[in-house]
Amino acid sequence: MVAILKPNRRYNEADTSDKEYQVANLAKAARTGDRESFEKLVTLFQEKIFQMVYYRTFSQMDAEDLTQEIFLKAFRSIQNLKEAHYFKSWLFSIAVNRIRDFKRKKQILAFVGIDNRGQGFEEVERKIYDTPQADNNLFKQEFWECLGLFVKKLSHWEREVFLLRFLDELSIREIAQSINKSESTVKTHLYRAIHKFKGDTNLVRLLQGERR
Amino acid sequence: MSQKEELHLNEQQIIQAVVDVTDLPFSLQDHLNTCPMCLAQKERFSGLLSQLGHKSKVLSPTYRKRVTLTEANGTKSPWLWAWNWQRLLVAGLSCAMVLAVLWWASPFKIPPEWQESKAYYEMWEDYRMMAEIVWLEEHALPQVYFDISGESAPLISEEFIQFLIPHIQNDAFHQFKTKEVQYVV
Repeated sequence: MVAILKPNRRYNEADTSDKEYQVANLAKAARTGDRESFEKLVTLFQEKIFQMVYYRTFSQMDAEDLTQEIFLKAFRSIQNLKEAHYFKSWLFSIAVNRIRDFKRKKQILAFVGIDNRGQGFEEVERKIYDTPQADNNLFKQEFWECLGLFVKKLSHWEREVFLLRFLDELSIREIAQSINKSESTVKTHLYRAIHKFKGDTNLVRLLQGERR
Repeated sequence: MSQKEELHLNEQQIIQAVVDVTDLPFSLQDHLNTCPMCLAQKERFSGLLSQLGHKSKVLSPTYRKRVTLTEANGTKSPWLWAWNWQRLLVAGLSCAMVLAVLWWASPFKIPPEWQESKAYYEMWEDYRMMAEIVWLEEHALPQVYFDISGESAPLISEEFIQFLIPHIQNDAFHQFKTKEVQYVV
């Protein structure tokens, strides 16, 4: 098993460095005002950013709107990007801040009573039951429910770091840059989050059951 | 063998290895590289977390739209900008501050000398009104009574009244009466 994984990993690392180089070049060009380069960056990252937002909002509509806003903000402030090879971290930091603002605004609106839409999984649940393939979606529902319950157990930074590391697949360095914290702080939060993950039998069983 | 067993990584160390293997002490790193049991345990746990990432990706919906950069060129409606309540609040507070400053240092304020003359004018107005009230008190009867009494007739002067009803001291009868009285005495 390990022997099979290792060559793949080497291949992925080489692939990743190529991609990083390409991203850095595009970011450099975009920083000088090249719109086409920025559009290429959008193509490369839009799916990733959308998923990242979805993991935190669990609403497709909100995730789509926020993705659009995040890229617009990035486009407007691309000149502020100092190091082109930090583009990914910089983009994720914009996303993290935008999602935080969105959640805060939503909380205020919910408190005032303007926005009383269900937060979390209620919306996902409804959508799942509404679809024709309801049986196939049962696992989907269970998965998101378990993940949501687990995520609720984590503190703000534990959650952010855990999601960035294992769902958004950022490295420790990239996470540290994205949330503007030191690498050791990131590792501490990550350690605590993984410890809690190990204790979450429902989610672990679900993942193990699927693997069998 | 027993020494090797003692060196096996515990749960915390496995988690630490998943977070960053270089954070482990060198002895434990060496052990992890050589012990298939610990390595398998670590790989199993890492695999579980990778599975979580993979499942999330597979089970999340796909992005149906495409990001457009048109709004960045200034096509965004100004009403949308104004709708942001924070901006509205800041704009309102700024307006209130500007108005307060303008009021504080207003060049259109009434000067004190104008205020004095205004007071005099008001006093004169009061006096005029009081005079009017007094006149109304004195002339409370309607015009018809004045007409009957003849006060308002222009031809009926004091002289005419004197002619109609002479004064008692100038009366001839009165003079005769006094003479008669004198004779009797």
